[in-house]
This record gives sequence, C-alpha cells and structure tokens, in this order.
Amino acid sequence: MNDSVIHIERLGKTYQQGGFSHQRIRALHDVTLEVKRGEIVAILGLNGAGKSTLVKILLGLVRATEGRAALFGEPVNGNTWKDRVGYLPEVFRVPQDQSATAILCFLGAISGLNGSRLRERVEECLEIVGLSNVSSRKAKTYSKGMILRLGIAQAILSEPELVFLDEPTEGLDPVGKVDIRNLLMNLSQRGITVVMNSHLLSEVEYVAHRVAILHRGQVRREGKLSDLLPDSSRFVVELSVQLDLPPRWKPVTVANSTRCEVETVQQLQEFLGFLKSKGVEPASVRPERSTLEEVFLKYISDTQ
Amino acid sequence: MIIAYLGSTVRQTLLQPAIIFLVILQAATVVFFVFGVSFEYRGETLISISLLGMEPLTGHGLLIARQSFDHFIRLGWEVFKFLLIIGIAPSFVELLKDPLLSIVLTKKISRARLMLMRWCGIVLSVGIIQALYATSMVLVLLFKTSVLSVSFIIPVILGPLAYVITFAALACLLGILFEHATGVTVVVLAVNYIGAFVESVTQQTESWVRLIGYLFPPLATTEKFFLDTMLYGSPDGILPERLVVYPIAYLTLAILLFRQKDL
Repeated sequence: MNDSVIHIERLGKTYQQGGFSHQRIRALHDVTLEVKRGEIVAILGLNGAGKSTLVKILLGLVRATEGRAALFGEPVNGNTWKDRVGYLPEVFRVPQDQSATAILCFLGAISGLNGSRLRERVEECLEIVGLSNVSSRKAKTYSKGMILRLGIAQAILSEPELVFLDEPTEGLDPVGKVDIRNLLMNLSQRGITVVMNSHLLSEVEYVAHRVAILHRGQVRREGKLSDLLPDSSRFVVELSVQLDLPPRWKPVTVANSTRCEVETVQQLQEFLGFLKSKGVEPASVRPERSTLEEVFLKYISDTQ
Repeated sequence: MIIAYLGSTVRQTLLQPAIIFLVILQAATVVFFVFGVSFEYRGETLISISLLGMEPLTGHGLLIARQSFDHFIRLGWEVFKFLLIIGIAPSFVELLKDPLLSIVLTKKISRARLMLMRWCGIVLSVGIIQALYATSMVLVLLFKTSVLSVSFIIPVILGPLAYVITFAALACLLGILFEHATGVTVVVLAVNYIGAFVESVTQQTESWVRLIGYLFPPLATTEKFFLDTMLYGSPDGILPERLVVYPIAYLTLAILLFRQKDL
C-alpha cells in the first residue's frame, strides 16, 4: 500500500499582476515535498513565504505554473480526492447571520452528508471543538477564537483522511491552543494526515512530526523535528555557590547560585578543570538544545 | 448537495434589499387591485372602473383610466427590470467573495457546476417571485373581471424570466471578469438600455450596421412580446430564437474564465 498522501515535485507558481505593469511575482519555486499517512507536517515561513499558495495549489484553488502535485496519487486538478480532504483557510469568515449548526449543516450537505448522519456529525464536531453550548447562536456573536474553532469543526466534518489547516491556532487563547494541539494529536493517532501552516513556532514544536521551512517560495529545510533540532554543542553548567568567574563563561548569578554557558566540549573540559582547581563541584551539567525558533531563524537568515 | 447550494442561493437572492423592495411593490400592487379597483362589465365589454371607492369612471374617464393602466404596466415593467438588475447583478461578485467559496470548492463540486447552480438559483428565485405575483394578479383579475384567461399567467412569468436568464448570465460573465459589484450593475443596466436602443435602430436598416445589433441580446423584441401580451392579451410575433444564444454564450465564457481563476 502506498503511504504517500501528498506528493509534490518541483512545484512553482508565478502570479501575473494585472493592469499595465504585467509584473510577475514568483510565489513558489522548485518545491518538492512528500507527506505520508498519519503525519502532522508543519509548513513554517514568514508572512508571504508562499505557505498559503502551496496549500491552495494542493487544493486546486490556485493553478501551479511549474511542476506537479498529487493527493492520494491523483493529480490535484482532478476531483477524485475531494471527498477525502478537509480545509481550514487562513482567513476563515462565515455568514454572520447564521448559527454554527446552520453553517456546518450547509457545508456537510455540500460534502454529501445528509439526514441523521449529517446531524450526528455536526453535533460530534461541535462537541470536539467545544462549541456545543453556543451552536444555535449567530456567528456575529462569536469571538475570533470561536470562529476558528468553528473553522476546525468544518474541516473535520466529513471525516477526511487529510486535513489542511492554515494558521489553526492564530488568535486562540492558551486554553484554546492546548485544545487544538490535543485535537491535532488525536487526529494523527486516528491515521488522519494533517498539514498545517504556521508561524507560531512554539505551537509547531509541540505537535508536528515533520517540518518544512519555506522562505521566499522555496523549501529551505525539511525533515523530522528530531533532525532539525540536534543537540547543540553548547552546555549549561549550574553551580550552587556564588563564584567570581571571568566573562568568557557568561556567568549569571541568582541568589546563591551561578549559571554558566560554554560553547564547546573542549571549553567544558577546561571549565570543569577550572572549577576543580577552585574546589567547586558543579550542581549540574547539561547540553542545551536548540529551539525551533533558532533553527528557523538560522535557515531563513542563511538564505537571505 | 445541489438542493443545499440552490437553497442557499435562493435565500441569498431573496434577501437582497432590491429584491425585497420588488416583492413589497408587487404585494402592494396585488393589494391595490384586490381592495382599490372595481370593474363593471356588460357582456365582455368594460363599461366602468371604480378606483378606491370613488365614483365609477365611464366614457372619456374610462378611456383615460385605461391609458393610465397601460402607463402603470409600462412603468411597473421598467421598475421591475431596474430592481431586478440591481438585485441580481452583484450576485456573482458576491460568489467570488463568499467566505465559504474556497471551502465549498474543496468539496466534490466542480467550478462549472457551482457557477451554473448559482445561476439556476437566481433564475429560480425570480421565477418563484414572478410565479407568485403573476398567479395572484391573474386570479384577482379573473375574479374581478371574469374575462381574463388563466393562460395569461404564462407570458407574465416567461417575459421576466427571459430577462433574468439573460441578465443573470451576463452578470455572471462580468462578475468573473471585473470582480466589482457596482461596475457589473452599471454595465448590465447599460446593456439593458443601450442594447434595446441599438436593437430598435439596427432593425430599421439592411446594411452592415444591422450586425451591431447582434452584439446585444434581443431584449427590445422580448420586451415587446411581453408587454403586448400584458396590454393586449396576445403577443405580436414570437420570442426571437436568438435570445437563447446569448445566455449560453455568456455562461460558457464565464465558466471557462472561472475555471482558470486563482482563488
């Protein structure tokens, strides 16, 4: 069985501006990516990096000008994959005079659900995103976070095998973010593939199995989080005493303890020798891990 | 799926302020004819009309009243067209700006089908309004005059529908091209007025100028067909066959453009 859900090969998109200028804007260039069943893949990038264009091409909303893309082995400009996909757009707006239930019933009916099955799914999805108690209120009374939850509910309404979420936690409060994070992990456990666009790196770090860093329309780095976040050679040494240390160890004294940073294994050995000569035992020595933010900044600054 | 989308389009169309206003005007007209007008016949000849309980108009007064009815019908028709265009012309720009469009298009529904369903929904909405209006008016007049035939309902529905079918298709094409609601409304209004003028002028000649008339749908001929039926009970001539070509051409072009459009 082929496990590939998304296959993207040398994909490119150049927008042609209208008017007299005929300006061409290259939104994507030579993007190649593979997503397997059950993965949560995050596409990271600054605003305007091409994340939404990529997702829109995959959903057939925007036409690629180069390369090819397939969902479930079928070209994206076909129709066969359509009942297997859910989508939360970056800007999710709803008719203001309709309730969450009415909006979901409409989208469910468009997806081919009907009768009791439609009602069941609408109730289930509202329950999952925590909107059951406000489902009959008109959308104009909803907060930004509630609208986003409604967006996620509609994305999973037809029990899709693949869900695209464009900025799914943007505008949510901390509790909402945790809820969505748990929901994403739950979807993944059920074998549903999730592709999420985000620039909230801390969120991505919690849930994504793999990350693709998109910058100026190109994938700069792609891989598993564990590959992208290698243990760095930097070490943090904590001492339970106050000690007068040279600035090269970057000492920070708080109350009766001191925290130092060393950049290499060689420097660590040197520093431990120095402490021994002073008769001081370190309270702890641990390697410092790079954050996704550091990795992200590194890749986008390397290629500026 | 089709019912859900058609239902949504019909609902959106009927909630357009211009369409609501049109329905109010039609309802007021029906109420006026129910309570405000009385006809007196001798055999099949109208001998007097009484308006709002006033003294019945006979002789010269009756002639003036009949002319006023003709003017009322012509004015009503112009108001109807104007409100109709204002009500339906922005509909396809709204489709492109519909917050749920990108989601709907990820469902198993093609762009062509979506656009045709939108067009059908608009035609259906106006069909429903016009069917209700025509039926009520004809029943009222049938009851009050007893000389009118029920078959009169059909042209009263078909005339406006011919307009809606053409205007909605044109608005669809212009909406996809320009994505600007006011611009589309202005152009459709212009086609309505200029097109009718060009058609009537070019029909007078046999030279190549006649070809210019083919750029516009034959709305003046359609209007004449419809108004003749309304005013004199039967049309002079038949609906022009080429009327069907225009909506088909507009919709085909609109679908081709919509399929290429990045959303």
